[in-house]
Amino acid sequence: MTVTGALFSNADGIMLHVPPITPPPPVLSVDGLRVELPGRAGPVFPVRGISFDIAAGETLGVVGESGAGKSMTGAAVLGLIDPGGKVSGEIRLNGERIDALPEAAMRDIRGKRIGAIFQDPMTALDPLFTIGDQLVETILTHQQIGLAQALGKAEELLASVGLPEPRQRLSSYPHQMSGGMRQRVVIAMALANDPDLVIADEPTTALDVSIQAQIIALLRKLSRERKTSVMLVTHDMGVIAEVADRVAVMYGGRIVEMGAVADVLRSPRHPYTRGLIESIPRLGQRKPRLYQIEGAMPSLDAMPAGCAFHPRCANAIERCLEPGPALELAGSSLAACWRADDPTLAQLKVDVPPGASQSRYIVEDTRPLVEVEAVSQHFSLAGSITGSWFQRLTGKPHSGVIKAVDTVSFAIARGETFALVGESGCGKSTLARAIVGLQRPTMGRVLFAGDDVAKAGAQRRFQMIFQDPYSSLNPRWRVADIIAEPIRTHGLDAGKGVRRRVDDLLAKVGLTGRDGDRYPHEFSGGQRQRISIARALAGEPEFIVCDEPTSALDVSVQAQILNLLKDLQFEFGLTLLFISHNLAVVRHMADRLAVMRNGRIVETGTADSIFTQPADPYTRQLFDAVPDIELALARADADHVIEIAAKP
Amino acid sequence: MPTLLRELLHAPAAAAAAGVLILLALLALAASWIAASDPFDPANASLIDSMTPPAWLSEGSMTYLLGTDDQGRDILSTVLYGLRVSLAVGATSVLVSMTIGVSIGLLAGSAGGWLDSIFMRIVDIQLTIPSILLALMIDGVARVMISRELHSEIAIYTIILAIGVSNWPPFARVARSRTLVERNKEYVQAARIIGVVPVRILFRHILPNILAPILVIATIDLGLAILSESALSFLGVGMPPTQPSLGTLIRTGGNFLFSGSWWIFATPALALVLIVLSVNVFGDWLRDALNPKLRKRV
Repeated sequence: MTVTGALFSNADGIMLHVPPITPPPPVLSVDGLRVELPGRAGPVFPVRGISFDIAAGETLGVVGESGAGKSMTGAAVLGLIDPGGKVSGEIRLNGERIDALPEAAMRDIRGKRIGAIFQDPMTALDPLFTIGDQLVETILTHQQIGLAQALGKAEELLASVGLPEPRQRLSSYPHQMSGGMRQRVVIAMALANDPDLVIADEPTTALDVSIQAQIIALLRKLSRERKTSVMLVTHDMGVIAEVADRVAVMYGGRIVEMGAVADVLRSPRHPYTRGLIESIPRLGQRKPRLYQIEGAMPSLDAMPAGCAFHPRCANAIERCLEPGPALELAGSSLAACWRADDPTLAQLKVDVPPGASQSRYIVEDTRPLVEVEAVSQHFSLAGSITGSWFQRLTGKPHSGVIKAVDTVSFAIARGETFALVGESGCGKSTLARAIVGLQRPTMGRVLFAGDDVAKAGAQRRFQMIFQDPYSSLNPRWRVADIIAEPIRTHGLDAGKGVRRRVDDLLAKVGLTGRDGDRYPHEFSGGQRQRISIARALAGEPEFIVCDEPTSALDVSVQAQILNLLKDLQFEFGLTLLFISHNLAVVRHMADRLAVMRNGRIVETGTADSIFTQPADPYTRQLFDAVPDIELALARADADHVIEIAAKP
Repeated sequence: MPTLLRELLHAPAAAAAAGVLILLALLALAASWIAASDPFDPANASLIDSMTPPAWLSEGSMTYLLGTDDQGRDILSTVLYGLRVSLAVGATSVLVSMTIGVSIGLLAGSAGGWLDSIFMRIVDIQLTIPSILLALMIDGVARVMISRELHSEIAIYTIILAIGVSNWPPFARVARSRTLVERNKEYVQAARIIGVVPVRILFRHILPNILAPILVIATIDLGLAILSESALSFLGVGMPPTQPSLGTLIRTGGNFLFSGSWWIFATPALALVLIVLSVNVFGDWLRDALNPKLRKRV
C-alpha cells in the first residue's frame, strides 16, 4: 500500500480486509488551501496552505483552539468566505473542482451535495416557519418532486434523526422545541438531499452534556448508516475521539498533525498535539497538576515566522524559524515538525511545585467557613404589573413560580475546594449569586464564618471570578485601577502602596507591572481571566466563588488558569467554591462536590467517592455522557474487535 | 480614541463635515477679531453704506465682502456674531438636555420599580407634545413672568432652558436602556461583591460605559437644537434683534427678499444650512463608528 493509500484506512480496519486495487476517489480533496482576509493593517491569512482528503463514508475531525483556522476551512469549502476575502488552492468534490465556481452554481452544491450543521441550533432555524416548511423548502429547492412526496421525505428525515412523533413535529415552530431537538432538525436539514459531504462546525458545543452525547451518537450512527462523509470541526478532543475516524490538528492556520484518531490521540507526534492532549483534565484520573503550554495562539496579524508554534514550544530549535516544516510521515501519522521523530521529545515535563501534590491545603480550624442552610430561590412568573392584573381579571391562582434553587444545604470547610456540578438551568449559578449576597434568597440563609452574608462588613472576605472574561472587566478602566478597586474600597492601602500591591498581584497571576497601564481589550481571554483573579485576590479574601472560570477559554489556556488557581489556593490558603458543567475540570479541582439537578442537590460527597462510585442515577448518566478521550478510544478498540470477529 | 480619528480620516464626507464644523466654530469664536467692528453697536452703523451688495457684484465694495443690510451693517460680521449666538445656544441647550436626560435615565434604569415607571411615563407624555410647542410655551411663561427690559437681557438663558427642557426624553430613554444592559454585566456584579457603594458604581462604572450612544444622540440633537433656536427666533420669540442669532437674521433678512437685497437673507440661511448639515453628517458617521456591530472585525 502506498503512503497516500494509508491515509484512507481508518480505525475500522476495513481496508485490511478488502484492500482496494486503486484507492476510491476522495469525496473531498483540498489542496494548498489559503484564505486571505482584509485586516486593519494589511491582509491576514487565517488559513495558510492546508491539504487533506476525506474518503467516502469517512469522518474527518478538524480540531484546534480558537484562531487556528478550522472554521474558516469549513467556510472556504462551503464557499462562504465573506466578500473581500480571497480563497486560493484547489477544492475538489468527487474529483470536480468547486473552488472557482460562480455563486449560483455554489448555491446548488450547498444543501444538495454538501450539507452544513452549525454551532447554534437556536439561530440556525427561521423562527417564523414550521419545521415542516423549512425541511420541505430545503428538499424542493434541489429535488423535482411533489409536495406530498417532499412532506413524506421530511417526516422520514425527522424519524431518522430520532425525533419522536415526526408527523406532529412537522407543524411545530422552532421555539416549541428544546435545543437538542432543534439540533436534530438542523441535522435533518443538512441530510435532506442526501449530500455526499456534511460539514459540521462545532455541532455540540452549545448543548448540555447529556444532549451532546445524544447528538454525538446520532452523528456517528448517521455517518455509518448513510455512508456520508463528514468534516467535523470542533475544539473538543473528546468529541473527536467519539466520532471521527481521522483527525487533523490545526494551529496558526496550518495542519500540524493528521492521522487516524487512535494514533494521534494515543501517540501524538507534534509538540502542540502532545501538549494539548496532556493539558486536558481527565475524568478517569486526578493529576496533581495539568501540563501547561505557555502563552496563547498567535493573533492573525502577528503570525510568527517558520513554525507558528515555535514561540510556545519547549523544544524549539533554530531550524523552527525557517519556512515550513511540511506534513511528513512520522510513525503512523503525519506531523509538521522538524523534530517529530526525535525520541527525546516523548517525555513531557510537568513542573509540580513543592506542596502542590497535596490534595488540599490543610487548615487547623475545622469549623466550616461557609454554611448554606436550606436556601431556596424562587422566581415568580407573574412579576409584571400586567401579569398580576390579568390574573386578577381571570381569577387564576398564582400558578407560575419557578424554584430555581429548592431547599439546598451544604457546608464548605476551610481550605477545601467544593464544586457545584450540573447542566445549564440546574440552579448552580443562581445559588452562587445567593451565596455571595448578590441576591437575597427567598428562604433559608447563608452563613459566612458564622455570620449572615447579607450583613455588611463580611464583604471583603469573599470574592467571585466570573465566566465571561470579556464582560467581567470594566472596558473603560485601566487594569491597574480595576485591580486596585477592592484595595481602595476597603482602604487596605493608600497612595503609592496601592500601585505596589497591584504590581505584586499582577506578578502573582503571571502578568507584569506594565500590563497595569493597559486596557482590558488589549488582552486575550486567558489574560483577562488572570486579571479577574488578581482583582479577586486584591481584597485579601478567604473565600472565592469561581463561576465557570474556564468554560469560555481554550483547552491550553484552561490548563494555565486551573494550575494558577491551585497554586494561589495553596499560597493563600483559600477556600474555593468551584461551579462548572465540565465534569473533567471538576474532577481535577474539587475535594468535595454536589451534583445539582432542577434546583436540588441529588448527590454530595468527596470527589473520590462520587467519581469512582456514583450513587445517584443522574450522576451516573452525566458521567457516561462526557466525551472522554480514553473511554472513547477503549470503546473504539472494543468495536474494532467485534467488527473483525464479525467478518467471515 | 486615536483609532476613531484614523477612521474619520478614511470617511471623506464625515471628515469634511468635521472640518466645516471646526472652521465655523473657530470663526464664531474669533468673531470679535475678524469682524471690523461690533455690528450691533449703534455707534458703528453707517447708513450711507446700507444695502451694499456683496463684493463680487457690480455695485459691491471690498470693504463689505458679503454686502450690508438696511442699517449699513456688514453682513459678514452680523453672520459671524449670529453664528456665535446660534452655536452657543445650541451647544448649551444640548448640555442641559443631556444632563437632565442622562441623570433621569441612570436613576430610572438602576432603581427600577415604580420610580422607573413614573419617569418613563413622563417621557411618554412629553414625547406626545411637539418640542417646538413646548419651547414656545416655556418662553411664553418666561415672558409673562419677567419684565420687558430684563427679558431681552436674559433672553438667551430662557431660550437655552426652553430648548434644553424640551429635548431631554431621547437622552433619558437611551441612558435607561443602556443602564439596564450594563448593570447586569459581570463587571458591575464584581463591583457589588467588592462592596463598592451604589452611587459610585453608577457614576464610575456604568456612566462611562453608556456614554458612546449618548454622544451620538448629543451630536444629532445639536443640529436639532440649532434649528429649534432658529425657528423660535424666526417666529420672533427667540433672540432679540439687538443680539441676533442666525434665526433672527433670517427673519429680518426675509423682509428684504422681494426688494432685491437677497444677500441679507441668503447669507445667514446658507450658514445655518451648512452648520446643521455638517452636524448631521458627522453625527451619522459617529453613530456607525461607535457601533461595534457595524465595525469590521478581524
